[in-house]
Amino acid sequence: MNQADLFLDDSFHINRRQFFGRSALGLGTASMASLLSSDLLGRSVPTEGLHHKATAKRVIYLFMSGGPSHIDMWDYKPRLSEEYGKDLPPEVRDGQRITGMTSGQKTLPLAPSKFEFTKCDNNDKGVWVSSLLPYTSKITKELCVVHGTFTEAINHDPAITYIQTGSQIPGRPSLGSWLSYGLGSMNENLPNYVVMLARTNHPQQSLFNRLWGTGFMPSDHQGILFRAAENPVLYLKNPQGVTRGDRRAQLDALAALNQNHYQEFADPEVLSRIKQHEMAYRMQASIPELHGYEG
Amino acid sequence: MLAAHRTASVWLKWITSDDQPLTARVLVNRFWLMVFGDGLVRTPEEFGLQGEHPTHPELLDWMAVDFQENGWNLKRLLKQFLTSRTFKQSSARRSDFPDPENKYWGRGPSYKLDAEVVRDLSLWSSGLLNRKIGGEGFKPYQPSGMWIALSHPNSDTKNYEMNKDDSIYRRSLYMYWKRTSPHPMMTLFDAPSRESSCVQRSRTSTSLQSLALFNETQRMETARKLAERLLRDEQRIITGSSIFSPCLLPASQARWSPQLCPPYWTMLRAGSPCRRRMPARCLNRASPQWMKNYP
Repeated sequence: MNQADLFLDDSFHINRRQFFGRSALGLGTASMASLLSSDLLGRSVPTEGLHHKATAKRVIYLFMSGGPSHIDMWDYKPRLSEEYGKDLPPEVRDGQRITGMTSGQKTLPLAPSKFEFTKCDNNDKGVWVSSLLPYTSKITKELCVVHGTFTEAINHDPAITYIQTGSQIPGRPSLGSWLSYGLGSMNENLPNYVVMLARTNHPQQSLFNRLWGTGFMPSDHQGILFRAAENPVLYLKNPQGVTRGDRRAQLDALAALNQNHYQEFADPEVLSRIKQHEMAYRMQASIPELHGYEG
Repeated sequence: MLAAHRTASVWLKWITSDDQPLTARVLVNRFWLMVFGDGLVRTPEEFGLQGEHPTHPELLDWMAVDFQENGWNLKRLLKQFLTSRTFKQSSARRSDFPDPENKYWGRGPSYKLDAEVVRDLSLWSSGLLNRKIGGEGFKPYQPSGMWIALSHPNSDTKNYEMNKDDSIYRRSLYMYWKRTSPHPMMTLFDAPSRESSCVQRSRTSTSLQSLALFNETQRMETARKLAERLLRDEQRIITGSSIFSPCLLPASQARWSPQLCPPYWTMLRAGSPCRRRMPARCLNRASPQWMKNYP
């Protein structure tokens, strides 16, 4: 009799860390429960701990790197017009370092935005929108504008690190990683967290892997970059001359070897490897389909 | 200044003094973690109230004191680990002793190798490894467009240019590391981003790793070279006189045997639709058992 047969209870092989590490039982148990309840269970599941029913199933998050300044779009500062041309009062800066772009200037004159601002209705106290956004200013009732975000550091890098990870210093998980960890996904054929970069001809700021990185969380929650290249996902395509049938045959042989290994060692990691190879094989079909062209 | 200097040296003397067991304990635990896959203290970053108790406090204490008394000799410490009965045990799960997390160390280590080791091992097995020590880093194969997609227009690392010589076969230790966009064969396989300190790497199992193992250029190259080696040495492998013979055994068998080896070889070959194409991924995971059969 081989080793693995002796363990009748499959759960025996999985330790606590692996269990919590792999399943969706992270902080998002409640969210997952509500997902499951609508899709699978057909009955309501109590969502204790939340003050409302979790309904979000997916999040689309657009980050406009290198977009126009908030000063010219949303951040109406009438006093800048009043004080136009005067030097920045020292107490505003309070000795803080300034960027290389302005540090050579003899004076630091104040200047308002060139654009007109209009106050628009938003079901509350109104929101000021500049003339750069003629359409958006008509739909402000549908929008939530947050003005309170700021950073202490002076450059783009800590600021965009902060907006993506909640900390100006690298090392924290990005927003999407938290969602992948907390919410999980019902779709086994696609990554939980996908990142797409727009291609633009305008000069832009640099971006960093950490903006969709996992920080201290397991790296399977990292954002997966969908690329506008031949391979939308890295290493998706089989090399030239290897057909899908070849890959299937190879995976079958490999799975047999891995099964053998599992019979001897009963290490659950081996089964997980087999499963991931199979999922990769499915992704080779599902991702080109998603991208709208054939693989 | 004098005071600051004295404070630093006092602090250094204190953390390394004979009366201070913590430093040596933490260090011994980290090296134990590297060799055995888990620490005696399962929270290597936290030896305080939030941390876990050591599984074997007396052993940890003994090793820490022994380490101090022998001049903090790391080589000696590693030798102690590698020649211990604990390390030399079989990694197979034991039916007589259920311990999923191996907290009693009743079986040998079994864990996924680090990203760098996975790459180095495939280079070694294919015979392509360049053993040059020291010197400038190298830039290996990398999918096109990865750097330019993130870079500032004025960046001097905007364009990736891989090395055109045999430096691309050097150990991963020397791989060029751009922190804002590290090599995907590292980040996909749990190498830390190097933006903040990391005491323990995550060990994930993802389908993107599978895709990378299937299709990454250097993996393809090493697989092809390894296949060449295996086909050339077929007779010696089957008769047990090749260093690859032990790979073709069920991993629990320490020695080659004529009953066990040929069926494995047949199974491996079955994965290849054409006799000239050989899958070589039997080497992705190495348990210490088979490592120790190697020169």
